[in-house]
Amino acid sequence: MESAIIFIFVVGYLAIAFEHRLKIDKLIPALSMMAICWALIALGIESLPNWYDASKHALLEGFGSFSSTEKMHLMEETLLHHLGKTAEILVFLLGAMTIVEIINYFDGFSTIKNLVKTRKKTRLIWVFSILGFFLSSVIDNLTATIILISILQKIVDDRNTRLYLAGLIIIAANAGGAWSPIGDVTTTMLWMGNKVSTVLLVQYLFIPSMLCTVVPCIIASFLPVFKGSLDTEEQVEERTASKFSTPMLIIGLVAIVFVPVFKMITHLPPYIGMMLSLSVVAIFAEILSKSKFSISSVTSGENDTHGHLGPVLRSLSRIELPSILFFLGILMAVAALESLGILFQFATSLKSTMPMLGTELHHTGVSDLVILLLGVGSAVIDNVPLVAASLGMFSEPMDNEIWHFIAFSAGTGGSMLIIGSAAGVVAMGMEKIDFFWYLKNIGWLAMLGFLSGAASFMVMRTLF
Amino acid sequence: MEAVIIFVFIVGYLAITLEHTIKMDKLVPALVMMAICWALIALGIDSFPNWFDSSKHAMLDGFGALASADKMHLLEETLLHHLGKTAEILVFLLGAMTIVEIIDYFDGFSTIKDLVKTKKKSKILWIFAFLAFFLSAIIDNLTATIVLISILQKIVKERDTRLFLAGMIIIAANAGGAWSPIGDVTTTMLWIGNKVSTGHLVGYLLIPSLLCMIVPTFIASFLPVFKGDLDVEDQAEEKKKSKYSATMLYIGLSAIVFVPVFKVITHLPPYIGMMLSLSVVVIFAEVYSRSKFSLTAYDGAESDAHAHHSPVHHSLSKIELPSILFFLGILMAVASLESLGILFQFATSLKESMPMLGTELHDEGVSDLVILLLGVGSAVIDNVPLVAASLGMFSEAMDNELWHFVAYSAGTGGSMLVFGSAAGVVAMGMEKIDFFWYLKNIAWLAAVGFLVGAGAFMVTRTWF
Repeated sequence: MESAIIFIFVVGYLAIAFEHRLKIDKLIPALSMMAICWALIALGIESLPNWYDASKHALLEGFGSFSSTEKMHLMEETLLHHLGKTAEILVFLLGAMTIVEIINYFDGFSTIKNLVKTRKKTRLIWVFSILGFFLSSVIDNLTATIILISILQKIVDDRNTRLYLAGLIIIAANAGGAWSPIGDVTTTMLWMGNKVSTVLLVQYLFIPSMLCTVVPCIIASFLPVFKGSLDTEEQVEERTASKFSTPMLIIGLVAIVFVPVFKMITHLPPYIGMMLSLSVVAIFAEILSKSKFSISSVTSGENDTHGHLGPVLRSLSRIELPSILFFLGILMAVAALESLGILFQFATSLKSTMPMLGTELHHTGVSDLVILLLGVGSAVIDNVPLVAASLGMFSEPMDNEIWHFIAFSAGTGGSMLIIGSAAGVVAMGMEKIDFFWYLKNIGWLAMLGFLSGAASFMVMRTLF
Repeated sequence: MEAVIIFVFIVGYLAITLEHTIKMDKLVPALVMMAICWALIALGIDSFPNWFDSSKHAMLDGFGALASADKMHLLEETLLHHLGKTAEILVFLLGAMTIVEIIDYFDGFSTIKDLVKTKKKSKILWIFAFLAFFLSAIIDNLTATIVLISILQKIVKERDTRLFLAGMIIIAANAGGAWSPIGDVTTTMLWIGNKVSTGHLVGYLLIPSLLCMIVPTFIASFLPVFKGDLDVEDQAEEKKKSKYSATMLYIGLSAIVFVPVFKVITHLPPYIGMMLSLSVVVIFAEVYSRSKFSLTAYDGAESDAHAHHSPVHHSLSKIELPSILFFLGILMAVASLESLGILFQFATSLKESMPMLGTELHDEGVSDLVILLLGVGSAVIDNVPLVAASLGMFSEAMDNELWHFVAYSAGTGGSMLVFGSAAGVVAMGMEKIDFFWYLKNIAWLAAVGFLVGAGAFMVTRTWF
């Protein structure tokens, strides 16, 4: 039964990667593979030897000896847990995308275009990468990616440049998430599990993470696509369409910045703060669009359409639902594999088979190669179960450098493939990034960043 | 703190009912009240004496004695549980609405219009009421309502008739859910809690539920709005737009019928089956729209537009996201009240203060008035915590007629207000039913049905 599930997963994975050749929207394989994987689990629950408890991040003991109804109950709980976690991401995504659409409705991004005085594309790389890097360490990498790509779509019209920038945002966001205890799920796991302390984490990983962003950015700035300036297309003229463009931009951005503040005060998941922000922005949008209605009653035809469909409803109708369903499918399908403990076992087998590299600090410790491969592995599959596995496998004490290396590796290694990190999957949906395009154009940049970061970590770890 | 939360809830509740007066889309108050209620809970977590554990449907013992960190952890788990449960509904809703939109894309409902030979409105009323009643017993009342209203929107163009039909569907679906162990969340709770057995449940409640559906439908068929025939508007002529119309209708409907089958086989929540059905329907839709593309190559422009907008993307763009966000807000806000145990305590205080009616079978038992008021109460607030409270309050044995009365009352009483039942809330979002319109036009029908059914139950309970 397990091999059947893996087979379905691999077929679905390939169908997603070959989306453009099969001419089938990637949401179809994603949804079918989620449904079939879970159906197979439900039907074959008796024959499964292991179960991975997602809420405790550990393999469940004695699963085989459970009675059939207990197993079924456990499966329902795990499924509900995963759906809840997935919904947290989806609702947040919905909120962020809607706020950005509302700002755009009032033409708010024309203000930002003026603020970013430079039209040089290379400058844009640095602005977005640095924003991605620090935003991701304050909120988290997924959220930072969502926000920055939403803004990116409104600022950069040239599709090719935008795809490259999106790729670099993924790299920067993953790197920025690695050195902050709240920046990435895996780092948070290590932090909550008392494996790393905040201070040492920042000391060990800040410079490697920084290098992991900076190196790809420097190389990218020499690429032909970033030569020259951005096309402005004379849009400056029609910019005065709404006099509320600047206030709306400020309200919208403040609302987004409010989300991490809300999270810190209440300790609630960020989607709740995002929904509050969304409602506030929606209220302002309704009020502003009504006053616009009464003040400028020159063109009644245009006002009429505005009256029927408020800015909020209009913005919501522009949200990309196919991407939302695609996330749902792929996240739940990965969750199915995770529940079987397959990913967990993969990591365990990695440890026992790898030789030492000779670069290790302690000769009795774990091979550096294992950790590096963990990073590469996290590009192919989800990094959460891999880190969970290492939590179970390694018995090193708190703040041993191996934990920090794991945090770096699992956090940044995922940038090498587009489906390697949650940030990448989201970007894939939002920007229609092709799997092979990313592999060809961004994958090597991410790899260079990953390797130079890892090398600098090997130096850093001798310092403390 | 509890009083503040209740106050926020009531203000939000009022803002939703007065939606048309304050000219603010109901999704805004729904989202605001969800965010504020949960934020207040998180901030005041130390001051709450009780906590309602939703996954076990019971009050938590010794909540006050827990450490602050434990309470926070409990809060996060409960929140995740509710979000998961809400997401199950939302994803299902998305799937059902998309399938119906895809059928509509191929103009499939013109076939059903031909099948439903009669154009008499009263006949259509009876067809929908019976469909809702039995469909809801097989799947569940929420699902049945979603499916039927989606279809209704495509068949009946006249808005006033459609609103009345939607109201009758709510009544019928709630009645149908009461007598089947899987038809309604509350009945399922009683069934899983070993309070009612399937045989007795059907025996006791089939006739009362049937009456609860038939009596309002019978009265409604004499209302002026159901007089005369449906306007056909000569749509029969332009019906031959797509030659796949009938095929697509059958594929779509069998995909929807497949969902309960999938649920029975795998015991997985219905949204997974719905996603599988959706992907199958989407594959057919893609294949058909392509063959259409190649067959009718004379109209270049039209074919081009089809190539760009695949049927799936077109259908997904027609989904009403505001309703989805509205459900999210309102369901999560009710969940916050439920978590504090407020609704639970309301039911307990009801039991203590009510006098006997004299109609009870056993003199020392629970007053019939309590159960009837439980039904009325379930119209104002959610019925799940009310039933959970009665599970904790009453100590009667299995299949005591009291439990069946609770199942009936909590299941059908909610029809009296539009957001008294999950089915009503969904219908409110899908059909833009105004709170006061429903109160004026449907509520009295629901009340008559509820009382007739309750009267019938008092007779049937003496039989067994």
